[in-house]
Amino acid sequence: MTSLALLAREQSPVLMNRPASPISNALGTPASTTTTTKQRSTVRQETQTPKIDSRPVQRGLPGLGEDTAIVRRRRPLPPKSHREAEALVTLYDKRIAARWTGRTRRQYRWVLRNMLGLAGNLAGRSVGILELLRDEQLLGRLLATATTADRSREVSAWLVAQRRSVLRSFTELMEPELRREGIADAGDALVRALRSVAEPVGTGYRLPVGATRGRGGPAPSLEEIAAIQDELAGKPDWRGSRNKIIFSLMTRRGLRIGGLLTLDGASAHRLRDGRIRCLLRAKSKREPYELAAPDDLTEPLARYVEQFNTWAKASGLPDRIGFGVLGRFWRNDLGQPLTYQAWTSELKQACISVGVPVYTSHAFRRAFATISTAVVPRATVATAGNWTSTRRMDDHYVQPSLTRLRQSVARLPSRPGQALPVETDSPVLDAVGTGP
Amino acid sequence: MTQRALDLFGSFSLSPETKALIGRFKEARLESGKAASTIAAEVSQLRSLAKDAKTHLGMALADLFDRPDSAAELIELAGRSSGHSTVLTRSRALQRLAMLQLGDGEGRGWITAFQSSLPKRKGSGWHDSGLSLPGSRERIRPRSPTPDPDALEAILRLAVSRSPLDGTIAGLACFSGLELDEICELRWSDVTWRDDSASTFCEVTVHRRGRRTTCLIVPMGARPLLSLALTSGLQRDNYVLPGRKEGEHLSKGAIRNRIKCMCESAGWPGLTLSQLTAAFVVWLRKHGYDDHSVKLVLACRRVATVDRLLRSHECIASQIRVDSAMEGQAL
Repeated sequence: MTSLALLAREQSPVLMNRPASPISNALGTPASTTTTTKQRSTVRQETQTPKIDSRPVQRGLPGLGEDTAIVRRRRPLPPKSHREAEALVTLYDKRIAARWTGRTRRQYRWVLRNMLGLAGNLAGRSVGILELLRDEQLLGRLLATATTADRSREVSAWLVAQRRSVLRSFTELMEPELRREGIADAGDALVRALRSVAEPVGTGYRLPVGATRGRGGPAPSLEEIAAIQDELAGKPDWRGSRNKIIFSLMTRRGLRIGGLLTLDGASAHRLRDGRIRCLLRAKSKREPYELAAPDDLTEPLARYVEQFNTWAKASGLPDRIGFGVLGRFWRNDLGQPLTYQAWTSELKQACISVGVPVYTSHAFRRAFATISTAVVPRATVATAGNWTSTRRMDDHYVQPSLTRLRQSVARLPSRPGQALPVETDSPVLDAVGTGP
Repeated sequence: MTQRALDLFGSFSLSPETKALIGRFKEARLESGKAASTIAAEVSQLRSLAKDAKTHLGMALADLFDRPDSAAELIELAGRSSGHSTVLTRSRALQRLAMLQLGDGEGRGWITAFQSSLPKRKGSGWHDSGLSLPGSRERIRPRSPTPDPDALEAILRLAVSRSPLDGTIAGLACFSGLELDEICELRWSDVTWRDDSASTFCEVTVHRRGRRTTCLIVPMGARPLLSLALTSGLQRDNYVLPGRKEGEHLSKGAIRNRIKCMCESAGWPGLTLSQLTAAFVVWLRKHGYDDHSVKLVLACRRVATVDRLLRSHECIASQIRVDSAMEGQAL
């Protein structure tokens, strides 16, 4: 490399971060004196060194001559096997799209890409799906590695299980194509790879990798709920009504925020007697969840619709909302659909303003379970909150406060025949609150 | 005009060979005693498949028997625009056509080749081929809100005021566990009147999934039926709901439209017959019937069906119960 080129390389940040060989190739200097020509050609075949476009498109440093020209580099073409693997992944994506929901498709696509990234990281080279399925050892290592693709942090056991599911689904859905590629028993290979890294337990195997899923969490107390609701409802015009209704539905019905925010006006019905019923998307269920809006929310709901439509008309927006009207029911400050991020930030602001811990929207589902189970039979609460059974609700959602329970237990009668004090007529409800 | 435009306007016509092939298939299926609706669905799917084969691959339906992998491609393609059950019918119809066209031995060989070209899933037993067929599993039609039991009485009242025929349809739809095709094909000879001391009700004999069973029509629904019986001349072999043509019954579509219209007028738009039956179960429970008695009234095989019918109503009722229990709390 000439001294001028070296100077240019030192001074130009663009050139400094580039590998030496393409630049030196472009400058017409030998790449390395230690490798022979044959070795170089082998390396090129394996790694597919990018072809260099020799047309100078930009001067590196003005006045320093042609030697310092920065050339445009084309993206290197992947090897043929990788292109085939990529075509398979694209076809798999289409097959998933033809079978499952868009959500599943996006999830599976991400997991597959992430997994291939991790496989490449483990192998120290770029790995395609075909290569991965052929190499049982690498497959086993991949499934037993519970880290992100760049191996910077541990991932959850759920994601590890998801990787297994995606690979199983890939081997099943792409079975004809894999057979054509000479991988006839991809499913069996996957099982063998899993067994090679799993620990034998009894007559089966176990693969305990990844961070176990955290369930439960704090549930806000009645006082905190009231304070947050007041804060949220304090927003001007229709935003206050919207916040109050969403928050009320979350706390009084234990709704999941995802289902509530995606409510479409066409699924919101106003019956002849004025009652309101909404059909919401239910998690992991095909049938929607039918929400019967509390009677005292009927009027605020109507007011919200009216206020929003008046505001939209005044703002010159074409969108209108309403019962039976197609389009998202909950809107943001710009009249667009209210997103999860926008709602979460609103809730966070409210929590900070009233000086309570920052709760997630799901915490109010826990609050609903905790508060309602104190006064209503558990089976009724589970049905109302759309839990499949009481078990999940009891184990992960109901969070009675031990501190408050101690206080209420202290007020229980100590002698036979002693009457309860007047203020403790609902000792169980008193036990509701945050933390142990 | 382009092929796409022709398709849009429905001008696509099948070749005479394909028509003859589908015709033979139809005859063979009729001979084997399959239900008309099943045959109609299969023929429709074969026609669509023939259209797809012509449009996408430029080949006739019969040519697919030389290329099972192309047939699998077409099935995969169908999943992009059709539902899962539609694709399932299409795949089944094609396999049956192959058995008919190629004969037993060669047909089985073709089916094996066809199935090996399709994506797989874990089979659930020896009877399951373990195929993963495409098509949306999502419910396309949005559901309407669950009706109250009082809504049934409102619908019936409205229907009776319109005409005796509408009253009868509403009575059968709202106050019996009859299915739509059973309502269509009901004859006066199937109806047995029970004149109890309090009120008149009737029993209907139906053939449901290979068994003969008796379904009860409670007095509320039997009353308009009796009115219609008295005005219709009581000819035992006649249909209860006669169509326009002599000796034919009212079509399913006509009955469905009338039910839809009546429900809309009563303030419950978009209700299905299944939702009306579910509301009838709640109505019976409200009048003191236990689940096993409800099962007998509806002529269900299992009480689990009653549970399933009650599920959406239970959800609403639980929400109301929670509301009333939490009244006065800070929430």
